Amino acid sequence: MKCSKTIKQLPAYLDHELSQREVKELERHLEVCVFCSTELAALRASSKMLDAWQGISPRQCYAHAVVNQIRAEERGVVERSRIGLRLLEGKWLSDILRASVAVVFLIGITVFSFRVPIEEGTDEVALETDDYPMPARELILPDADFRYSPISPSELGLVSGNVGRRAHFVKVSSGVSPTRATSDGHLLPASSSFSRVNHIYFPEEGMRMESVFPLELP
Amino acid sequence: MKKEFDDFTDEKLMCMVQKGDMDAFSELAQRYEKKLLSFLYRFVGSTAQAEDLLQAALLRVYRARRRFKGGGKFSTWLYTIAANLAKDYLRKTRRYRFVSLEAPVGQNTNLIDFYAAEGESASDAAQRKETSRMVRLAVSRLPEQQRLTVLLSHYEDMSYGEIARVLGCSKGTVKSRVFRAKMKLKEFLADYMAGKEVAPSDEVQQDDKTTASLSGP
Repeated sequence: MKCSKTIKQLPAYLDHELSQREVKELERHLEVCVFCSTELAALRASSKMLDAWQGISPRQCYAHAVVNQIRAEERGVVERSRIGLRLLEGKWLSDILRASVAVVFLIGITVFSFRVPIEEGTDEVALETDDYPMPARELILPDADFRYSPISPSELGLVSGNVGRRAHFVKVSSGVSPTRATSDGHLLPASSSFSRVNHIYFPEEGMRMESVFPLELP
Repeated sequence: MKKEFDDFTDEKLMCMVQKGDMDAFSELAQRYEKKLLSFLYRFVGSTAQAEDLLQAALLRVYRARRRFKGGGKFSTWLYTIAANLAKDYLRKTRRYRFVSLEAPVGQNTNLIDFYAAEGESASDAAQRKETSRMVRLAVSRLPEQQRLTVLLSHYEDMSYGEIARVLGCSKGTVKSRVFRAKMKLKEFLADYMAGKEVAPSDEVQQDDKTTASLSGP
């Protein structure tokens, strides 16, 4: 067996990924080759060094957070369908009819003391009225498939984070527009018109995020 | 009443998830939470991003639950999802990637690396912290696929066959990636042992200032 072939087999040898025949052949070579034995020892040492890099522990139970988020979403879907919002999806509805259904919906939720308050003059509906003290941090919405931000669901409950083709509606209680932050820390003003949101940055500690879903439902 | 899932395999639990059992999903998520978080952290280099990606991966597992094939291994499927999300994340943020110049590399230290393990002297702990820092740098310098392969092989204890399934390549490809990665790591770390500093890569973020203040043993 040549040294070049042996060297290529060494990592797999240490990972126990060689066949018995290959192991025997390799060990026979190692017995007589100082160069390859030294190389094996060096690889072993560097592999051992890798162990010094320990993993991290979750700062909270993310499993519970995700389960709660899924449950909240599923409840949300039930509530929306119960009040007939799905009518809004119908392609056969004219714009006028669609708008009037929206108005009826908005009046309806007020009349029936549904938890959702209406912000006049905006196209936003607050899903949750409780305050969510929120530490300044960057929110990353990594995937266009997610209807809700996967970020801190336990802290925020149903939160915006509508990424993708549809417009994004976020309102911060202080009236300050949220800003979009690129990962080099550069802040850009956010608006409801940009089509894709990857980063939202809440610059001040304790800022509240209230709102969230677009009336144009999927 | 909490169901007792201790004796259930991952695959059995996943089968229950497919039938809508949320408790089974919760159990699965808890089983893998810590491992997956560490894997993502080592891959993207940032605790905050790893936490976000962990939640995104768990959500995707639930949403894609019907696509899990009963014959396969759950952990392989889970890591495939997590690795794809993390790769997408790195791709999307590559344009904006930055390495903080204010914080010297030595300060980018995870607190968990700092504390002495049980029975470890303070000087041993300091040595391990330093080694850990160098390993992080060395791993961050590997190309993405080699880095993934080494993480799955060394830290997640996966066989080459499992890694091949996660990364969608052949076992031979895994073997050669492990070879190339391990040889590079050996060189980086030998340089370190010889007293040379390894320059940080711009591939992986090194922003663990948050971790240092928030995570602890």
